[in-house]
Amino acid sequence: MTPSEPLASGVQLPLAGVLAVIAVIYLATLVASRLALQLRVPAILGILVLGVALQPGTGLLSVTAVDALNTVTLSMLLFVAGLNSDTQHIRGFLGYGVLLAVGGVAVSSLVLGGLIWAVFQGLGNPIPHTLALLVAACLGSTDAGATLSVLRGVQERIPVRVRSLVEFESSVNDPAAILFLFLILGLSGQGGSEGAALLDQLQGFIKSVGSGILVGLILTYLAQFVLNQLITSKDQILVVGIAIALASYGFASLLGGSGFIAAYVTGLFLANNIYDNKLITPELLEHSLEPFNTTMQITVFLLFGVLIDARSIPGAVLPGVLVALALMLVARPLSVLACQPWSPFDWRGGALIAWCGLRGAVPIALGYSVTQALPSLPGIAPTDLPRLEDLVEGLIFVVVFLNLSLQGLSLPWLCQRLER
Amino acid sequence: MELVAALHAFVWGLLADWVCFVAVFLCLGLNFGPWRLIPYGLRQLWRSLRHPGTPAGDGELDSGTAFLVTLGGTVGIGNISGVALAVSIGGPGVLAWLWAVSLVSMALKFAETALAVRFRSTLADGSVLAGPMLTIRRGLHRRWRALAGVFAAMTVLSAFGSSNGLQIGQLAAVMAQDLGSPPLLTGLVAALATAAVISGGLRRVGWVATLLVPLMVLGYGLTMTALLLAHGPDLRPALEQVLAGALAPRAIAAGGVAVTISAAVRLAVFSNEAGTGSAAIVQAAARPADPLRQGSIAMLGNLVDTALCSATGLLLIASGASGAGTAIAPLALVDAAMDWARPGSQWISHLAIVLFSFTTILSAAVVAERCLLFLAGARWRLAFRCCWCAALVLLAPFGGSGLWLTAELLEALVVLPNLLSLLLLSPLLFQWFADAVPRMGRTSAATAPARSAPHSSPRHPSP
Repeated sequence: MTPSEPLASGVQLPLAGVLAVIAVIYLATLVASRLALQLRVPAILGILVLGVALQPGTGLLSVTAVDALNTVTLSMLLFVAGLNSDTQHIRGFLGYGVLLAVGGVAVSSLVLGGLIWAVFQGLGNPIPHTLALLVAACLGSTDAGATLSVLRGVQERIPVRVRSLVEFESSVNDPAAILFLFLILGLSGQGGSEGAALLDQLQGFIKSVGSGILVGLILTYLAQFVLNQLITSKDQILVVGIAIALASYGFASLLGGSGFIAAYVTGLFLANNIYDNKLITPELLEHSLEPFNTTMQITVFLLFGVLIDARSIPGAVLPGVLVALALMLVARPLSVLACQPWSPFDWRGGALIAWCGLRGAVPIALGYSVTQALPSLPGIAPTDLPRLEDLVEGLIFVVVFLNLSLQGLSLPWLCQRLER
Repeated sequence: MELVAALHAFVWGLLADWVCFVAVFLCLGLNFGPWRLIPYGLRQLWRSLRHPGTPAGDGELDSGTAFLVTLGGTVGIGNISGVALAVSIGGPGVLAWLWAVSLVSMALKFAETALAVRFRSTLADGSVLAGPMLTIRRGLHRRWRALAGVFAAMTVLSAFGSSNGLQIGQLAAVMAQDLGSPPLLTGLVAALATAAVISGGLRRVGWVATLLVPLMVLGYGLTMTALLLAHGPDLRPALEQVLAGALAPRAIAAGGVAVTISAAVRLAVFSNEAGTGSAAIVQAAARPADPLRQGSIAMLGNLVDTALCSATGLLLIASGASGAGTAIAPLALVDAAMDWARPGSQWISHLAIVLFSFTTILSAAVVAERCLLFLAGARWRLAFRCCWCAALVLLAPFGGSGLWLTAELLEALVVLPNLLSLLLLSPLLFQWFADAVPRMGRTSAATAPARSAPHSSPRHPSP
């Protein structure tokens, strides 16, 4: 499933050429991320732009290859998100963290869904309300990596507690957003009018969550066994990590659960655990997987940058700007405000948390799933499909772009202002 | 009724998988300990049956008698008509999956009994109360308290449905078919007999169980074995069908392997009582208060029960009666199979049904009474016993209709809290087990497998 396989089908290159191109592209991502950091925006933004700039033409990757890569990446991202959800660091406000992640995603998705629908209605280019909700659900999850890379620049100005909370929330809201997305997809898929069908969908949803959690637990146990009994050197941990992440996705999906939830649960329990094997600590586990995770993230950003048809962007700029503003100024602050009664932070902390919701790889990957699911949605004419696909793709790209750049650039300034 | 059917499909579509997952999880977390403890459990059971008085301790029954009472409840009509139903839904492969599920769910039964012993409590009058409801109330955080009440209440309600109504319905149907006695009369007789036994409390139920249960289990098991052996040449193809059907079910199971598995799990839940926690209620209250010993004995019930299920199932498959599909009533299928094995021998399965359902009614009365004791105290004991016997009379004419679905639906509400408490308490359980098993190796010299248990068994993650 490396990008090299299908490359050969589009452009006839010898293997050596393909490898050289891949190497050059990967090196270019490093240049791009360096440049992005120079501009004080998250590194992944640079990679995304690089991907769009490459634009090697359509037909580069087959649909199944992208689908597979998308799945692999999402399950890895969720596994690492689970590993990052360190419950020790946010002792005392764990409940608030979970509430913000789950309730926050729900509130902000619902509000944003309404706003997206209103924006398109106002622009005279109406879209179905289910689609608006789906796009909003994609944009529900925040990206821990992007947020942290920005926060790193202003480390001394941000309270540790806020940092831990944002990191935890970013990790937990990934599965929350996926659940919300699948719930909406499920409810809208059958038309939602028949009682029995609704019950079926609900059952499928509960089953996927419950079975995902339980299979995740079982695999945690297997992973523990492997880590405790089979590992002989620290260098093997990466193998275990990759295998466990993919196994939890695979087994859970085969057994009727949600693979992403299983991957997250496995990561979560592995990270918050004590091992008999003296070689292994949860930190080590996380750190050994980080390079792989970074590679996956770079790949997914590059890939989705490449996949976006640059021609779809201009049409999505105006609604994209409006939606991004709605997300940053209305939906996210509102979701933080809704959870404020239970918050251990004052309004300054709340404001910071509200502004820290940087979107990253997960929305883009989920956006791709939404475009795949578009044909099964009710109330969409087949003739409308290409237009809507372009719209979703372009919209999510523009929103993520603006979100990363605007919030990334202004976060240090906000920290300074709040400090006074 | 349609709503009940829809809800039933909804809930059991979820639970069938979850029971399996939790069982596998416990099995792994206990390092397959329950399987290694089978010889230990057998030895303890034998010792307790031979010397009922020892060892002394709290609890009204000794562990051997408690096991027989539990077994009387576990072995019910599920082992006869339940198997017929499952095999006609899921094909012969159900049996293979039943073996797998009941092996894995031994961990479930071991875990719930061991935890129930750990959290049991002695009442003011000296009697011991145990079971998942106490495990939930005493073992879990206070916020789960309501769950204990839900568990107890649903156990009582589902006992009236699936253990009382269903069993007496089948019993009455058999009596009406063979002796022509009207269902109400059968119900009345059964109610009088039940009243005579349960008015004596746990002790008299235990006494009756020691008389009846070994007789009926061994009698049915040996008779079925003899019938199967008499048809030796047909046994081999039947076994082959079972193994082949496990992964490639015939066209009968329209949904493929999933239907076969879910039929097997449901059979395991109803026949083995995997995950319902009712075995723990009786077994964990027995003396002595040793979690390892009671847990090891309780899980043996799965083996006995599965063996009886397999005997019925193999006979059904060998006779070819199970191929008729779901159109025929389960009982008629069993009759056809018995007739094939030895013409005119239906009375064996009918006698088994009468005995099995009678002991199930007794055992379920004990379980439900304990739950009521937990909920409302001793005040309602007499009222409950009267209700239980009255229900036998009233429900005898309509066993097996819509009542069954409602009972199964309620049973789901019993299984869910129990599974949740097992999951939440699993760190404690695994820790205890890792410490307890090496200790057991030292106290009884003959337990070789226990000593090989690794000290550094992986711990459960604590979130």
